Amino acid sequence: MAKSSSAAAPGSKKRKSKSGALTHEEVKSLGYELLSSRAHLNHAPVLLALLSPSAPLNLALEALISLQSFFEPLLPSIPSSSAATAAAGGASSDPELVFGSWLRQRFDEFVAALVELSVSPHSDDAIRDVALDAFMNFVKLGKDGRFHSAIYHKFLHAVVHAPDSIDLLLELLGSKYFKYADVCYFTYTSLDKITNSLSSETTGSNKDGSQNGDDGSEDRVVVCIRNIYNILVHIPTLDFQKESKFDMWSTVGLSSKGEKGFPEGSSATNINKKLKVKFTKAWLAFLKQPLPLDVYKEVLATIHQNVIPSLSNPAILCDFLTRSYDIGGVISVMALSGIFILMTQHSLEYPKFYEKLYALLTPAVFMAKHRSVFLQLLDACLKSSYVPAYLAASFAKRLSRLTLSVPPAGALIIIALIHNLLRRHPSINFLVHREIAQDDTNMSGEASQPKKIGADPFNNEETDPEKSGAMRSSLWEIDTLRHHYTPAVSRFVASLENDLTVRAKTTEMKITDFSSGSYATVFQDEVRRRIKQVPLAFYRTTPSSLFQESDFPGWTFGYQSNVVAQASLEGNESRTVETSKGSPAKRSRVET
Amino acid sequence: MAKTKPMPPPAAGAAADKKQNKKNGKGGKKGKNGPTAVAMKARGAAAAAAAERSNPFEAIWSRRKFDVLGKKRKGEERRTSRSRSEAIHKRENTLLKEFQQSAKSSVFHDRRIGERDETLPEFDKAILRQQREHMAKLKRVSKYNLSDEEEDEDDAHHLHALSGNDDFDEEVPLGDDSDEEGKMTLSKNRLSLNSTDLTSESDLPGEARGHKSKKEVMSEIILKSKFYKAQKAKEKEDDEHLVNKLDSDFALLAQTPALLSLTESAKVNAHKNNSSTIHNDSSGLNGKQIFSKEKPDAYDKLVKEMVMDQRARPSDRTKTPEELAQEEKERLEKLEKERHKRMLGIAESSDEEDDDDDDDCHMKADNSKPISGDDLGDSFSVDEPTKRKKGWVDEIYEKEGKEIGEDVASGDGGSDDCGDDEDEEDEEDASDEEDSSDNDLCNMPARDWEQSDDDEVVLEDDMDNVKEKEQVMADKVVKKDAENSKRESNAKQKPQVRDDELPFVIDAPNNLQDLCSLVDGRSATDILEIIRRIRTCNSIRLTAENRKKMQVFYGVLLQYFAVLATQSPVKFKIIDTLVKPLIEMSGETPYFAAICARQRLIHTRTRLCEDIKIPGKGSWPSLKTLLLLRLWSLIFPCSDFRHVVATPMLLLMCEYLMRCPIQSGRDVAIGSFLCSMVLAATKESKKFCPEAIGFIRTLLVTSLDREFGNQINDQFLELKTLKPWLHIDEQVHEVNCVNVLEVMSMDPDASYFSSNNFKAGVLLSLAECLRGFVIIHEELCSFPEIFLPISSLLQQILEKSALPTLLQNIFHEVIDLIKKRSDEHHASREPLQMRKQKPEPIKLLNPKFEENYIKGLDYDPDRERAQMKKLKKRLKSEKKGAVRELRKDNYFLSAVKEKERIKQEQERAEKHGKVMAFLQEQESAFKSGQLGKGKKRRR
Repeated sequence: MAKSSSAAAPGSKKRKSKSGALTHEEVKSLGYELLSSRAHLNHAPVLLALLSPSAPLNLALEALISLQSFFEPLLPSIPSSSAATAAAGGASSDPELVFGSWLRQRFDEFVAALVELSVSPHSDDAIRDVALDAFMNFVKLGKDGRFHSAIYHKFLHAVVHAPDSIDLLLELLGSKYFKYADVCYFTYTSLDKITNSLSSETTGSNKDGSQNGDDGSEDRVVVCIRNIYNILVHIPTLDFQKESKFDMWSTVGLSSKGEKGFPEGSSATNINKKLKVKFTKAWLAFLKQPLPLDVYKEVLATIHQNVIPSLSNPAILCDFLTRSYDIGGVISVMALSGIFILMTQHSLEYPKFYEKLYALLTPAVFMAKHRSVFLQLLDACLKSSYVPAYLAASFAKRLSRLTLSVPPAGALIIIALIHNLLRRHPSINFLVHREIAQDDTNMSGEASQPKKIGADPFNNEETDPEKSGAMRSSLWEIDTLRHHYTPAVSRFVASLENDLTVRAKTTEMKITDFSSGSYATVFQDEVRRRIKQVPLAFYRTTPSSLFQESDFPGWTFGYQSNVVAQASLEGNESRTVETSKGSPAKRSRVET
Repeated sequence: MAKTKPMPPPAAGAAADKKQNKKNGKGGKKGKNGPTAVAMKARGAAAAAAAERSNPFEAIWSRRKFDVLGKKRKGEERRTSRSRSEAIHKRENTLLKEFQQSAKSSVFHDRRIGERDETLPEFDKAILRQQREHMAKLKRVSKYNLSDEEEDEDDAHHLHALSGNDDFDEEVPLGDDSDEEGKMTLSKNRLSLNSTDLTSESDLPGEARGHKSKKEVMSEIILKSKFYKAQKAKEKEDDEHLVNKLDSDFALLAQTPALLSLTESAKVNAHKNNSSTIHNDSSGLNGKQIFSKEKPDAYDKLVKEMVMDQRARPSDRTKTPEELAQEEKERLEKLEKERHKRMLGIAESSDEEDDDDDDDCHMKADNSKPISGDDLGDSFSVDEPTKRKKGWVDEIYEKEGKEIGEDVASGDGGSDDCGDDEDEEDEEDASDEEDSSDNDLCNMPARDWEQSDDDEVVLEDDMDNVKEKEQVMADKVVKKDAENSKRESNAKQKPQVRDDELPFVIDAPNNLQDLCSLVDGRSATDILEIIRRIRTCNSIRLTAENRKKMQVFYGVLLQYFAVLATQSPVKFKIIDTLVKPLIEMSGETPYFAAICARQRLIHTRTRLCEDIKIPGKGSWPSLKTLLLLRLWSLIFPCSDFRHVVATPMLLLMCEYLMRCPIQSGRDVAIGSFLCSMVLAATKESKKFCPEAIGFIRTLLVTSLDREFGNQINDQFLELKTLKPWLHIDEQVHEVNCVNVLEVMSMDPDASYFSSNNFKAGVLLSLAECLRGFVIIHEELCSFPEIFLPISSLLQQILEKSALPTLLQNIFHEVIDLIKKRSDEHHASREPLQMRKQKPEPIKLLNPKFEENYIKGLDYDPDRERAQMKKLKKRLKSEKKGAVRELRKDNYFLSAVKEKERIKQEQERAEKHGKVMAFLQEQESAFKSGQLGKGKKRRR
C-alpha cells in the first residue's frame, strides 16, 4: 500500500521542494482546483501525499476533505480493480481506460491512506474521525450503493493487525457504526475470515520459520488476537429476541448482495438468523485461537453473559468450555459458569462434573477475583436433592477443612454453604451431630485400636469424593471456628446449631449475601460499629516499653544497632538462652 | 299437706308474738310494725313447727363419729321418704288437679277471701270477710252519706263488741293448749289494734294477706341501722372522754420527779452518739414540752429528727497493709473477671445494658489510674510478688488519706474523682505557689480553650491532614532534616527556658509543631517529665474544658509517636518512653483514643489496598505502622471477643499476612514479626488466626530447597512468590535473634537478608512463634488437622537442611509437642454433637395451699371463669332437677292412671261377677227346674 503512494510521491516532492512546505492556503487552492476541472487531476497525488499520520493536522484535513469530495461523485465511474489492472497491464490504448485505471490506483491509494489514518495511533483524533467517516462513506457507496465488503475487509484486516492499541478507534466504531446490522454482519464475516487466515498463517509460519521468527510471530499473533477480541467485545450484543427493524448502513442494504446478502424483503427474523450464524462463526473461529491468559480469563468471565445467549447453537461451545474446565485452577473456576449454563439450559452432560468441582475447592478459590460467581454456582450445583449423601458430605467436609486456611470472609461463606448443605441433606447431619456410641461398642473399639477414635477418617488429598471418608468424619473444623479471631465468624457458627433437619423452622442462607465478602467488607463492618464502650487493657503496672522480649521470643529490640552488632560473640549466646524460656538449662547444655 | 297443718302456725307464732307485743306495748314506737312482724314470724314458725311435727318415720339419720371436713353428711338432712311424700302431696294438689281437669272445659275458681291462704284458720277467714264487707259498705256509704260520729262510734263499738265477743270466747276453755295460746295472742292482737288509730286499718288487708311489701322491710332495716349508728356514736364519745381523762391524769403523773428521771435517762441514751451537752441541759425542758398540751408535736419532732439523723458508723479503722493488699487483689480479680467476660462475648451481646457497664468501665479506667497516676516514679515488676508487696506498703503511706476517702465514697464515681481531684489540685496549688513569681502561665488555658474548641470541630479533617503531613515528612527526609535544623535554631533562640529548667506549668500543645519545639533535643526522662507536667496542669478532672484540650494533646502525642517512627535513625528510646503516658492518657479519654486508633487503622488499610494494586511495590507495613499496631494492642485489650479497635486491628494484621506478596528478605522478616505480634495479641484469648499459621507454614516451605513446588498445592500459590528465602545452604553455628528495628531500617536488597545468619534468626523466631501457636491452640478441636502438616514439614526441613543445633532442638521440641497434642486429640476426640438437646426438665407444679379451704368454693383466680363455672354447674343441676321432676310427674301420672284403670277393672270385674252370678243363678235355677219348662219336664 505504501509503495503505491510513494510512486506518486516524486511529483509532490518537486512541488514541495519548490515552495518548501505547503501552506494551508495552497492546499486549499489545490483542492479547489482539483475539484473545479479535470485539468488539475495531478493535484490528487499531491494531496494524497499529505495524508499521513505524521502530516500537519490542518493540511491533512483539508486534503482529505478535498479528496473525498473529489472521489465521491467519481465513484460509480471507477472501474473495478481487476479491470483497472487489466487495463494498466494491457496497453494505454484508450485514454478513458487509462484514466480509469489511474483513477482506480489513486482511489486505492486514498482508501489505504484513510485506513492508515484511522488505524494509526499517531493520527489525531479529529482526523481519525473524519477519515473514518469518509471511509465508511465509501464503504456505503462502494458498489453501486451496496455494501463494499472488500474494502471493509481490508480495513478490518488493518485494524486487527494494528501493532498498537486500537481502543480509540473501536470506541468510535462502536458508537457510530456497530449499531447497524449490516456493518455487524460484515464485521463478523471478515473477522471469521481473518482469524481463520491467522491460524493458518501461524501454523504455516510455525512450519517454515520455526527457528527464526518464532517469538516475533507469536507476539504478533497475540496482539492480533487481542485486537480481534476487542472488536468482538465492542460489537453490541444483538437483541435477537426483539423483532425490530434493523438499521442498515448502506442505502440498499444487504438485500441486493446476491447470494451472500439477504433476499429481497427479508423479514427481521431472517436477518436475525443470518446474523446469528455469522456471530457464531466469528466467535468459534476466535475461540479456536490460542488465547493469551488475560484474554482467556476475560472471555471466560463474560462468555455466559455475552456470547452464549446469542449463539445459534450454544452446545458448540461445549468443547471450548470443557477444555477450559479441565485445565484446573482459576480457569476452571471461571469456566464453571459457562458449563453450568450449558448443563442446565442446553442439556449438556458432563461426566465427573462433581469430581472436578470437588477438586476445584482450594484455598486459592477464596482469594480469587471471580470467587463470588463461583461460590454462587457451587451453591447452585449442590442445590439438587438428588446429590448423593456421600457427595454432599464430602463437599461439606472439604469446605470445612478449607476454613483452616482461608480468610474470615471465606469462612463466612463456607459456613453458609455448609448450612445450606446440611439443610438440603438431612441425611448428612451426622457431620455435626453424632451420638457417641454406647459403652459396649466403645469397649470393643478400644480393644482393637485405642488410638484411632479421634482421628479424622477424612482424607483431604483424595480426589474422589466417594472415597474421601467424609461419611465417617465430623466437622471439627467448624467447632474450631468458634475460636476464630473475627467475631462475625465465631458468632456465625451458631447458625449451624439449629436443627436443620426441621425444614419448616429454618431457611436457606443466601449465598449472594456472603459471596462478595472480603477483608474489606469484614473490616468495614467492624469499623462501622458504633463506639458504645471502650474497654481498655488493664495493667498492674503500665508497661513502659513497646516490646518486651519475653513476649517476642526470637526477636531483639536493640536501641543502638551498632552495640548489638558488636556484642555478637558473647551476647548472643546469653540472649538466645534467655529468649527460649522453656528449658533454658537444657538448651545451654546442648549448646556448650 | 295434712289437714291439721293450718292449725299450728298461729300457735307457735303466738308464742313468739306474745313477748313482742308486750314489749311493744311498752315502747309504743313499733306499733305500726307490729302486724307485719307478726305475719313474718307466723310463717317462719309455721315452717319450724312443720319440721318439728314431722313424721319420725320419715327421717333417716345416722350417728356420726368424726367430723370429716368437706364430707357430705348423708341422712341427717335428707328425709327421703318425707320429701317423697311431700312431692306426692304437691303433685296431688297441682298435677293431679290439672290432670283431672284436663278433659274438662269449665273451671271452678274459689275466690272467697282467705280461701287461698291455707294458714288462716276458719275463724280469721270469717273476720276478714266481715271486714271486707264492712269496708265495702263504708265506701258505699261514704259516697252518699255525710259522716257522723255516731256511726263511726257505732262502728268502733261494733268492733269492740266483736272483740268483746272474742273475749267471751276466750273464756271458753278449749281442749288444746296451743289453741288456747292462739286465742290469747289473738286477743292481744285485738287489743293492740284497738289502741292504734283507725288509719292503720288500711294497712290491714295487705298485712292480713301475709305479704309484706319490700318497702316495709327496707324501712325496718334502715331504722335498725340508724339505731346502731347512734349507739356507736355514743360509745365513741364515751371513749374519748375516757382518753382525755387518762391523758390529763398522765400529764399530772409525768410531772412527778420519779417518772421524769426515768424518761431523761432514756433520752440521754438515745443521744449518746451525736448529742452535745446542751441537750442534757435542755432535756428537762424538753420533757416538759413534750408533755405540755400546747406543743404536743415537739416529741414527735425529736423522734423524727432522730430517725432522719445519720446513724453513727463505727469509725474507720486505719487499714492494715494486708487488708489493702487484699482489697487490691479483689479489685484486680474483679477486673480480670470482667475482661474474661468480655473475651467470651457475653457482655457484648447485651449492649443495651451498657449504662452500668459503662460506669464500670469508667471505674475501671479510673481505678487503674490511681496505681500509677500520681507516682510515676515507682514501678514494680509483675513477676516478683514480694517486691510488689513492699511497693504497696510504700504506697499506703503515701496516700493513706486518699484511699480512705475513696473507700468511704466507694460506688460513687463522682466523689471518687473528687478525691483524686483534690490531690491533683493540691499538687497544682503547690506548683502554682512555686512559680507564681516568675511566670503566670495559669491564665493561658483560657485562651487555649477556644482554640481547642475549634480543633474539636475539625478534628477529623485535622487528623487526615496531619497524616498527609506525616506522609510528606516521611517521604522527604531531607526536608525533615531542614525542619529539624530549623527547630534547632528555634531552640537556640530561647535556650534559657529549655535547656536549664523545665517549666512547671506547661500548656497542652495544640499541634505537632508546638510539641516538637517543646520536646526536641530533650532526653527521654525530660520528655517524660514534660508530659507528666502537661497532664497534671491540664488534668481532665480539673475542668470540663480540659478534656478537649487533653484530647487534642493526645492526638498530637500520637502523631509525634508516629513521626518518631518515620525518622531515619529511629529514636526507639524516646518512642518507648512515650508508651506509658499514652497508655495512661488513653485511660482518661478512652473514646477519643478509640476514635483516633480507628481512623488511623482505616487510613492504613486504604493505603494497603492502594499499595497492593501496584505490582512490585512493597505493601508490608512500615515500622511506623508496626509500632502503632503494637501500641494499640497494648492500650486496648485484644482478648475481648469484640472490641472497637482490637478487632479491626487484628483483621488488618491478618490481612497483611494473607495478601502481601513476599518480595524480599525484609518482607520475610516483617511478616514473621507480624506473626509474633498476632501471637502476642491472641495469646490470652486463644483466638484462632488461620492467616498467621498459614504464613508461618509458607515461610517454612521457603526454607526448603527448590523442590517445594509440589509441596503446598493448597496454599495461596498465586499470592506468594516463593523463593527459597530461608534456605540455609551452609552450616551455621550460632543463631542470633534478629533485631527488628535494625531490619526495618535496612534496604530490602541488603546483603544481610541473604546471609545465613539472618535466615537462621528468622527461622528461630518462626519456630518460637509456632510453638506459641501450638500451645495456645492445643484445645482446638481440629488441632491435628492444623498442625500435623506443619509438623511433617518441619521434619522435612530437619532432614533436608543444614540447621544449627539450636534450631534443630527447637524444631524437635515443636514436633514432639505437636505429636503429643495430636495424639491426645486422636485419642480423646469425639464426634461433634452440636444439636445436643438439653434434657427438658419435667414441669414441676408446686401444690397450692389455701388457708381455710372450703369445699365447693371456686378458687379460680379468674373471676369470670369462676362465675361461668358456677352458672354452668347451676344450670346442670337445675336441668337435672327438672328432668327428675318431669320423670316423677310421669310416674305419678302413670300411677294415677294405673289406679284409675285398676279401679275400672275392679268395677268391671265386679259388674262381671254380678252378671255372672246372676246368670249362674238363673242357670242353676233352670237346671234345677225351678223355671217353668224344666219343671214341666221334670214333672
